[in-house]
Amino acid sequence: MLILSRRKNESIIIDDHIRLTVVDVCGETVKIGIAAPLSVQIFRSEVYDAVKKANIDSVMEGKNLPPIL
Amino acid sequence: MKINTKVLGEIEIDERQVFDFPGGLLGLPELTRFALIDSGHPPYFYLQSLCEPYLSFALISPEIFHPDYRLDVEESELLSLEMESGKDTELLVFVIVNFNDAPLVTANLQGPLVFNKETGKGCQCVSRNPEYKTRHDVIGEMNALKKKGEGKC
Repeated sequence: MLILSRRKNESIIIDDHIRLTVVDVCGETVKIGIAAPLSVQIFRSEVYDAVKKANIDSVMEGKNLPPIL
Repeated sequence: MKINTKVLGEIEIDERQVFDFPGGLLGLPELTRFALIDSGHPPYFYLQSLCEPYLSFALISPEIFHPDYRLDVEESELLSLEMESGKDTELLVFVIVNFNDAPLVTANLQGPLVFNKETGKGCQCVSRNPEYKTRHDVIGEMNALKKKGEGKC
């Protein structure tokens, strides 16, 4: 993993078109501004991981559909 | 067209049932083409991958157990649906159901699937609503809903 040190208001450019800016640092919390094209999907990693895990866990094993109505 | 599936065997589907998911599913970006199939067992639909015959999901409409479900997502997430601007487009919204915690049936309200029938495009979004989680107890919440309804009468 690449590790870079940045101060408040400093940025990192990724792939020519994504700019991450450290907007604020307060104790253990860092506020990050992200400027990216609309087509770039951005998620909090815990949310992304939860939905990804749910997708993989939900692959059907058989065709039985338990009645719920 | 005929397609081969692990769960349903060989089945015949119509072009109108085929949806392109340009971004795939979250964590499964290679799954970019699906068939949406009415299971014949309401309220279930199947989402069958056309890339991987062994990958299918069960879907339901979230309104079945969350009548006030709202698709609370960033507008940019719906770009891949190629909706015509200035025009109301009817979108189909489904959530993925998980049976692997049987007898519990859970549904993922946090990562809804959205389908645009007009363009044949679909996508998985992430809801901004913190009340929507990945494992809602469908039967439990339906029973709670019924009880609430009875209380009103």
